[in-house]
Amino acid sequence: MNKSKKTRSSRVQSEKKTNVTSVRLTDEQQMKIQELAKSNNMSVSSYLIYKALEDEKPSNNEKPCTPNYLVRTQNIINMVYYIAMKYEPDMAEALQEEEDQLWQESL
Amino acid sequence: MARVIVIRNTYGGILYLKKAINYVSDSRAQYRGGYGVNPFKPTDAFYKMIQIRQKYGKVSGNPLVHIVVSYDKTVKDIETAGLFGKECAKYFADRFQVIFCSHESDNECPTFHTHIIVNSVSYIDGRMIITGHDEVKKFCDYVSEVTGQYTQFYFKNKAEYK
Repeated sequence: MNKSKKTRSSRVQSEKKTNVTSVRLTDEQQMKIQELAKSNNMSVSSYLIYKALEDEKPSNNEKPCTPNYLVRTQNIINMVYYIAMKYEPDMAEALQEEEDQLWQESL
Repeated sequence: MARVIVIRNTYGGILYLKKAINYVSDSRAQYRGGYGVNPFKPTDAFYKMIQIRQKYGKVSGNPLVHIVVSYDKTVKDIETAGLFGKECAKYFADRFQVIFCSHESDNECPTFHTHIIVNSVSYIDGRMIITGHDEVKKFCDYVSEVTGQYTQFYFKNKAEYK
């Protein structure tokens, strides 16, 4: 009996974090970065990578949508959807489509 | 006694996530819901989970955790199972995207039960979900509070979606 070869879903090479870079910091710089990382619910490494590689800020200085904000808006839309489906089904679908658009533009 | 079955299958990659979402969105699914995704469009739910994984550079790797909460015979209707299911799924919602549904008794489970699919990458910080003994035990304690049923768990380390 032939069995298809199964492969564990291990990380692809492009997503493996195999490189290490050291950074020299003053006490004050280290403390500040640790505070900022903590306030963003991130490790210091994740925070530094995120800040170094994030897209340029929009010219109108709007706060960019984080995944957390998008998830929260999706949850709000889901609650509204249940209500809207009873009275205005077309509106309910339009709300979800607007939410989808927001995700496309933000991530 | 309620049972929590934690299905951990690290084979199949992202396609496995798609199949799992389709599984909890088929014609048997009742009281569907989701946190962080649109639960009524499986394609949408799948792509929003992928978008979060892409944001944190973790598209590959373990794609999901599939949890089945099987209620005991004191649950006699799908409405109760649906309400329990929504509350049980909410446990993961403050860190992970979730999609869930409830089923009546079937060939796989003889009592009312809820399927919960959790995107294994957190939308908060990109960290992977941990489903060790202690973590699942805490979830079982939460399920006990929600359902009023003593809850035990076991791991099922294989799953096949047709």
